[in-house]
Amino acid sequence: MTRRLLLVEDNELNRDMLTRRLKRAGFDIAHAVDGEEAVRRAVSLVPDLILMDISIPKMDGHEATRRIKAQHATAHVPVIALTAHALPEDELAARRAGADDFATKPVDFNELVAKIHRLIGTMPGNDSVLP
Amino acid sequence: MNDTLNLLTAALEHLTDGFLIADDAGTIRFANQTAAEILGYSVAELRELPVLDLHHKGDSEAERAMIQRLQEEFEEALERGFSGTVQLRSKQGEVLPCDLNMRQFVVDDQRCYVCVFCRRAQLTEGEKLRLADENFLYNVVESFPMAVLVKDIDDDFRNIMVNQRYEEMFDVSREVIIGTTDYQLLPKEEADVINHYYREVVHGRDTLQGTVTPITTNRGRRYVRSFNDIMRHPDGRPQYILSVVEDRTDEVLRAREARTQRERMRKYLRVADSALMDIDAGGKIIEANEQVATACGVTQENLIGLDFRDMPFADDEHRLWVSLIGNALHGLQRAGITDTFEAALGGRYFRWKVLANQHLSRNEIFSVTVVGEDVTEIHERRIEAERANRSKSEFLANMSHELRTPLNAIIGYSEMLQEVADEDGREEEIGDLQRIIGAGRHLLGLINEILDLAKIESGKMEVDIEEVDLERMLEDVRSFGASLVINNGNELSVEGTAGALLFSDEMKLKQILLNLLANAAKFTRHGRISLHYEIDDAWAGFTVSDTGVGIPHEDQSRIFEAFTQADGSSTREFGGTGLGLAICKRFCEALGGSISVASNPGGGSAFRVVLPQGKPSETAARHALPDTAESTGNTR
Repeated sequence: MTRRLLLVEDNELNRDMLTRRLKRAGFDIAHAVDGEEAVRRAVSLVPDLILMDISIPKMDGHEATRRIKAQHATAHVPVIALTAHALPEDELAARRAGADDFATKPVDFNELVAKIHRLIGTMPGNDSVLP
Repeated sequence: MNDTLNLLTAALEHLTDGFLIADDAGTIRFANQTAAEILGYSVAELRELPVLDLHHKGDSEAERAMIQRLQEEFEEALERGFSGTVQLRSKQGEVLPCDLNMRQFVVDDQRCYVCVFCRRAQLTEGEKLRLADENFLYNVVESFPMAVLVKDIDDDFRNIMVNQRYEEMFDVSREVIIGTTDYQLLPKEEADVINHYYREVVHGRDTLQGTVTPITTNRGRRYVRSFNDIMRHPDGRPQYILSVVEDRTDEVLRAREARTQRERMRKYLRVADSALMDIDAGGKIIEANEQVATACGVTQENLIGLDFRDMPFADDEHRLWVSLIGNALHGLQRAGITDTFEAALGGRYFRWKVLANQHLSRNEIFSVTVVGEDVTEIHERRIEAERANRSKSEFLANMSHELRTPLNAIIGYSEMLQEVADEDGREEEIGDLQRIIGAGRHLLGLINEILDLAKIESGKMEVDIEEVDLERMLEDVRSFGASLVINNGNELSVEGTAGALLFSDEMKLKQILLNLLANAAKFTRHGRISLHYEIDDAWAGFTVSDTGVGIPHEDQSRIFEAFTQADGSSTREFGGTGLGLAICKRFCEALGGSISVASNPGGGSAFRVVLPQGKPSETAARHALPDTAESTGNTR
């Protein structure tokens, strides 16, 4: 079963690049370009995982994560915060908002994929749920 | 000889004055007939009588006491001779006013006294009274231990009596003074003041009692203080002014000198740039210039006299102030140390110095001087610089964010394309894509390091001290380091001794060591790079040595500055950001340690990092005395 990820990213280049690379890695990708859309789409799609950029318009990634985690339907969906800010407090802020993990941009793509698999309980190249 | 004696004796017997000779003990040895007649004794009775027994002892208790005192004075007067009116008493108890002349003389080492006296002419009761008064007054005045002047109130305050002390004090003889008024002796303005004073005394308004007044005398201008009292006539009217005069000139001049000095000091205090104050041993502010008063928001007058604890410092600074001044007052300041602290007062910012003033001879603090240099401008500049530095750091952090976003895309697309090219076997593209990726990663490294520096300088770097898993950390360093050094064909060795557990910030320490290894690898080709460590209870030392190109001596001091490599061109030749060593240095400092370099051009370099064990806050103090700390470290 193909896992569906919701990629929340306002920068078009990065959104396109990450989408294409994640698709190549075998994921199904849905998009949101701002915080409000992220919450809406998270609720309507209930993806397997959300990649959440923090610096996004309308509602920042922290607030969007908080709301997603507050909704019963989406509370269980893992969130990886993506940010170009790389100060320790940025990671802490993301985790406080409810993010399950954290990746600094430019992302080490292999590491990101590993994190995704770890959070959704799959092995790379293998869609089966881990025992 | 006998004839002469008989002649003299006969002459003395026929003298119309009483004549007595007393021996050293005051016993009468010779008396003539006239003396016996005046005093109502026989000549034989007079002989062997103590001469002082002839003196009237007074009738009332008070009079007796007075005369007793006078008698003591009189006995002293015997020493130097006496001439005047005395009250003698006859054998029958009659009081006899007599003019008496007495002199001391010495015969065959024997001291004797000769007295010649005669009964005063018959006096009226009034005359007797006046004589008694004047006689009494005279004796009192003459024998008084202070300078005394008696003035006749009814006769323009004419001087009628003055004692020897007065003569001595102003180097003037009584002949000049007696019978004159102050207007004949002193400049008019001085006489005016004094006579006004006397009139006030007469009218019972002696408001100037004890006031110091200048007068012109043979000894120059003197400052005198007089205590005046009225002597009344038996009918109650004021008759004389008895003026007891003290010469306060020395004191006045001393006080004037002190005042001049104080005024001079105040002038200095006024023109000084600093706030200056003096606190006495009791903690009272005894001197403070306007700068202090202004900062306190009070007048100088209101400030002087306050307790030093009343200085309006803010809470924390007030506690510091009280503690430091208290220490200084109690002599607890360490020798040779001037306590210095910075504290705001009244919207200005001062650097205060506390100096305890100690008696040279005694081990005792007599005052504490506080000097406050107004450093408001410096302080504001510093705050401004810190703010500017912070905003610079924030700018760097933001800029690095802006730079990472497109870089994210560049590296991401390149990696993706490389993967695709790999899969499709398009070898010729792979090399170019790898170059894009390499350049992108180099740019990313730069940005990361700029951000690291920004983090350090914006004060956001946290130091996380915990026990370091030395084995694991060294293994990480060894494996990462090996991949770093292999590029230029170098060999890496890691060795050392650990005599204690290591407490530090592992992440930062690892970054320091990797930066140093990367740096060594960059400047060394086909050589050896070694990491050596030694760890004891107090310190951890790490040395990264290489066999590379070395660093010219003149450049060794600035290689730890940001964006500096020994040779500006070396950045191009050797690559790197020029930030690695700057970051190492800042990390070392954040950990309470230090970094240094030893190098010879062409002979390789050795970078040595020394970090204290434990928390940076504790180790900062130890770091100040590394030799001591190291030696005590071994004994623990």
